[in-house]
Amino acid sequence: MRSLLQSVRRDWQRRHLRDADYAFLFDAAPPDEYVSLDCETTNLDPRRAELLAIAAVRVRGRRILASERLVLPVQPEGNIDRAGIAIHAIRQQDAANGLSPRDALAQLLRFIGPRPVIGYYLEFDLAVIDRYLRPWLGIGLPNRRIEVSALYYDRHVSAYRPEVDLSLSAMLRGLALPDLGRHDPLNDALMAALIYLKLSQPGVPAQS
Amino acid sequence: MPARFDFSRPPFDCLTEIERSEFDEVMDLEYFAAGETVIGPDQEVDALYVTMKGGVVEAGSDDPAAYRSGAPFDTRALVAGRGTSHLVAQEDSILFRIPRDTVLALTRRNPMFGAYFYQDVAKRLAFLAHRPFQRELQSLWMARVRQAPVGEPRWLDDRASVLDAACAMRQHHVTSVLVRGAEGVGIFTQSDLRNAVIDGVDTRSEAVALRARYELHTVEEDDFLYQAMLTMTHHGIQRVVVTREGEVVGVLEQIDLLAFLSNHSHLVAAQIERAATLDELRQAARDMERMVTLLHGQGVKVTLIAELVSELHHKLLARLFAMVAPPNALAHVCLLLLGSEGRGEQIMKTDQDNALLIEDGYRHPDLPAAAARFNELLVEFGYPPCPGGVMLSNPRWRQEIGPFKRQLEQWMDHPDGENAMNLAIWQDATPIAGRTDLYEQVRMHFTRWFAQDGGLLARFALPVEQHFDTPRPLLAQLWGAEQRDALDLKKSGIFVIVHGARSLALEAGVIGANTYRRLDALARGGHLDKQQARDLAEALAFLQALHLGHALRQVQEGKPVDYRIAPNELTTLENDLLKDTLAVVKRFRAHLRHHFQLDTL
Repeated sequence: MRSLLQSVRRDWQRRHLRDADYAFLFDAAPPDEYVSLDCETTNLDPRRAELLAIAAVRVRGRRILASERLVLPVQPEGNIDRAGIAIHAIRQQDAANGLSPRDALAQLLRFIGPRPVIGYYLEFDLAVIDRYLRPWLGIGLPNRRIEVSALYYDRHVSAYRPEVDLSLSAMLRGLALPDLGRHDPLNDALMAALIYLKLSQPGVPAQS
Repeated sequence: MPARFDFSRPPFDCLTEIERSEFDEVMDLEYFAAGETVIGPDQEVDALYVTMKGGVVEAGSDDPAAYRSGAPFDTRALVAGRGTSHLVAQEDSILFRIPRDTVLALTRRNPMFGAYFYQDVAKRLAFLAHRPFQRELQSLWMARVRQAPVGEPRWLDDRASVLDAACAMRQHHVTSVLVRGAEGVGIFTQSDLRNAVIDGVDTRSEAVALRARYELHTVEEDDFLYQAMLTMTHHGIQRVVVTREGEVVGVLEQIDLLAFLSNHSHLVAAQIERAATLDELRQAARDMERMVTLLHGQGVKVTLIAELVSELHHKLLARLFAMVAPPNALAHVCLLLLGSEGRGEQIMKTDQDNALLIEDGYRHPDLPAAAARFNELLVEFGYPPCPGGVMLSNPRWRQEIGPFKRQLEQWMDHPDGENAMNLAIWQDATPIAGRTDLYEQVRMHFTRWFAQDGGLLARFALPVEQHFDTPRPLLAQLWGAEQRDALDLKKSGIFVIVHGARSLALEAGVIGANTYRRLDALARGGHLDKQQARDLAEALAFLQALHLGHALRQVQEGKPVDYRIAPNELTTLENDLLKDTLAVVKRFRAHLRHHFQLDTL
């Protein structure tokens, strides 16, 4: 059920899309299909961070189609923050073999199609992606967004417990999901998909 | 899929690197909330599942299969393409999902992996159960020199002649002797002797010390065997001198080393035959034990080990009896092995079961003492006494054949409790020394008597019901990780197969005591379904192999050998195969119950 506001925003985006090749983003999504997404970036400032790697995996029904994954290394124009290298383990020379941001995003958009996008702290990743997309397509990513930490918050918050720990490890623990190992974009995308699947099932009891 | 697929667990451990990456490429994840159906009965199955987290159980079964972390399922449904049972997520579960086509293609390309998916239990067990398990894999090359048959050094003093050396070689069955000369320790070998003869020296007067060589090639007894072999190959020599902290303690011959590495059973056999004293025989008994450990470590199939061991074992006991028996006694008596020893299925020295049949009218005053000595010596050799007293020192098991036949008749009249046990033990008798015809006479009498009485057969077979130990706690735990009750391999499986085969063999008049031969003969004679006979033989081999591994561990830890195996002693593959095996046993019990109408007793 889409609200009026969303519908108006979508119409606006459709009209402002500069490249007709990407009109498929506004097609009707295949039923019960999603794309879980995660990016590694040069730093954590959404206004200047550049893409280093993108991973995405499709979700169909209860199934995470890991076999149809998309994993793309991206070559940034600027330098990678020293502090970040220790976290994502992508050095300048590793990134040198990556795709140009535009080629990587073109592949990503075709992979996502009109499907809703799932992610953890999606706001940041999409802010970075939209910064690349706007000068090119005229719009940001128009797809519906599903923030797993928001789903988790809705499920776990109560009058007695207004504070909910929304760190990834706390959520995995709370949902009894495996930690696949962090700071690998594919694993992060898989874990977001797992959280989504678990929370989209009716009646999962909240755990303290 | 970079995430956490555990390729170290069977059957995935037999995939090559390339096959693993193929797996990775096609693997998906699937999420099931608690209570949701993963595979429904008769549902189309297009994938193999492996539990990543959570657990899946069979619904609506008394004895549900459970698939926990790392466990693949449902292999049967996968091959059939259709669900056979109802599998439900026991808790919220994440499953790896590998498409059926990929798995089937790999089963065709990788036979070891494919064997895991065989529907034929016998084939599956035969293929999988005897691959050397990683944890037991012990290369003989990495054994120590002292574990090999190092010969005692034969010393000559430096004044000895070449002829003395030749005599010493013949006397001790060796190919080299050692001398202490002015230059230190030297070695004089058969080829040195040959050269001395060719050179025309006077063997009587020429001092051996002059012809010996003093550049010794030595290995320490704690060195690895491959070092000994390398030394021999490097210098082109047939033997090395073995030292302990530099002191000469023996000589290792290349031929003995090679025999040890290939199959050392003939060495022990030769040792038994050559044995002139009890001490030498005792040494042979000890070497037999070592041989079992090594063969098992090499992954030799348990039935083969059992055959080798029982062969040697028969030789050993026959030799021992000949040493202690009164002269000429062998012309009037027959030494029998009974029970598992008689069947040739005893690998570890669990207990001794033996008996002596005596020709009617033959009496020798020393025979009882000899019988007692025989049993005592066996205890010394490491064979514990039989708790039921089935030993020839017991007058009941050392009788003239007339009275012994009467005793069998009595047992058959009241075939309950101990009598039933005695009859079963007797049925596995195998003559190993002396007058085989004495045994034949009693056997004929016994089977003829039995054949007259159908009810007797049923009562003979009955213990397969009474002694059965339902292995439920273990079954419920299969694929689980926690330590629970131990499973008695004998009660839960071995006994049913052995006694069932024994009962059917008795009914069908099958001669011979070995269970594998019995099953084979029963199948050939049409008394048992061929497939079932094969399943049973492989099931028994698997159980005996499990027991052997267990027993060797117990011996190593200095514990008495028993049949109780704890679930945590088993690898996941063994667990899975054990489940197959127990299902075979269960079917056989049902067959026996029906065949002998045990319900009506």
